[in-house]
Amino acid sequence: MSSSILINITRPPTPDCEALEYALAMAAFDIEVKILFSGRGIDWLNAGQASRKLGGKSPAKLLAALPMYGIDDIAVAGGPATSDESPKTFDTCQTISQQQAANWARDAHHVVSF
Amino acid sequence: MRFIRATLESDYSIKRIFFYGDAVLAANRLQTPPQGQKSIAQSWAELAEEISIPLHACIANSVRRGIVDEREAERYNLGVSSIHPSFTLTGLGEMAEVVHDSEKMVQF
Repeated sequence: MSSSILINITRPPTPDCEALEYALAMAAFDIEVKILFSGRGIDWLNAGQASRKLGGKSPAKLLAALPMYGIDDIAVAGGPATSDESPKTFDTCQTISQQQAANWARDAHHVVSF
Repeated sequence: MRFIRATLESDYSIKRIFFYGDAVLAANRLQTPPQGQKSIAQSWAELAEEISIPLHACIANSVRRGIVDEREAERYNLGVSSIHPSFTLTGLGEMAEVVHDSEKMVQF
């Protein structure tokens, strides 16, 4: 049986995007990955973000790569993204209820938070 | 560390201890703690020896933070390794393998 992991991102983007690197790596090793953004974590979804350090990876490009790694379950928990006034236009991301988010956590073999 | 000891006393087994993100700084052998305190790296090393469980630090996260073994020190021309000898630099593939094989992953 394949393993599954829910990656719960609650903090804003970091210069090295280690949360998304972790997600991509797990998917590359055939682990079923779901990603849930909540709290300040939804700041990852601001469209068109550049890298946060010289020569670094941009959150937007890493987010765009998720479906190519088979990561299709990407969601914001608990309603519309509202951490700031910026538009959130990462269109692969769905909005799910808190109950659905709880179900994702229940159904995953492992849950990690960043 | 208390959780690890309690887990083993409860007849569970632990496959790996994996350091990711800023946690890799625990592997820095060059820490010089205040007098009377033990370095975090040394504390982990003693625990790992006691329970015979390997300590793995994510190689990409470590190199970014200046935690390198001799091989990486040579590759990046840094002159000296900074990782405590009880830690091993590994890729996320190692972690994925353990994720596959483990009933539960616990994060701190």
